[in-house]
Amino acid sequence: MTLVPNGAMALCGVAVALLLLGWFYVYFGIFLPRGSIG
Amino acid sequence: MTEQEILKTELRWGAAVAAAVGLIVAVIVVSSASMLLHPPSNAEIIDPATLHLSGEFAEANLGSAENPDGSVTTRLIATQFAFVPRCIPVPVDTPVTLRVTSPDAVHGFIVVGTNVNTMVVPGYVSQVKTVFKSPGDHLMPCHEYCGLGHSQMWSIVRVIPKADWKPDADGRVSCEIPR
Repeated sequence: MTLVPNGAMALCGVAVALLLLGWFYVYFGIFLPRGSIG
Repeated sequence: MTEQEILKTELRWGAAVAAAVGLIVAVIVVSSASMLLHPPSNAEIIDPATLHLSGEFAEANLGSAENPDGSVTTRLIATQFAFVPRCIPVPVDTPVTLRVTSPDAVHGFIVVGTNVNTMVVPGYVSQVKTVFKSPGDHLMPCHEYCGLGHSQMWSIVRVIPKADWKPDADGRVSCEIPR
C-alpha cells in the first residue's frame, strides 16, 4: 500500500523538477540573454 | 496509510511546491533588482490627430537620428497598416531609444530575438531603450490586431556594424527593404 504514495511522490517530484528546470532554462538561457530594455 | 500519514505526505508536498514557487519568485526579484530589469514604461501623451503636421513625429523627423552624446533615437509612426519608416537602421553596441506613436488604432510591436516588446496606443508615445549586441536583421511585426491588414504590418530593424554607420549632415541614417 505504501508503494502507491511513494510512486505518486516520485512522479510528482519528477514532473515538478522538470518544470522547474524548464523555467530556469527559459529565464537564464533565453530571456536574460535577449538584453535589458529601459 | 492512515489519515495522519496521508495528511503529513500532502503537507510535505505542499511545502515542497511552495518552496519551488518561492524560489522562482526570489530569482525574479533578485535578478530584476540587480540588473534593473523592468517592463517598458513611459507615460507621455500626444495629440494623435495632428502628428503629421508638426513636432516630433512629422514625417521629416521620422527614422533614426544620432544624438549629440552618440546614442540614437528612432522615431516611428505605427499606422494602419505599416510602420513608418519600414526599414529601421540602428548601430550595434549603442544605446537606442525607440519612440513610437499611432494616429489611428492600437498597435504593438516586438523586435524578434530581443526583449523590445510594447503596445502603441493613439494619444500616447511608447518608448523603449535597448542596446543591440550583434549585427543583423530583426523582423519587427505588429503584434496587436489592428484591422484587416494587420498580418502585413511589419518592418525590419537592421543592426549595422559601427564601421558602416554613417549619419548624414543631420545625423540621420536610413535604409531600404524591398516590398
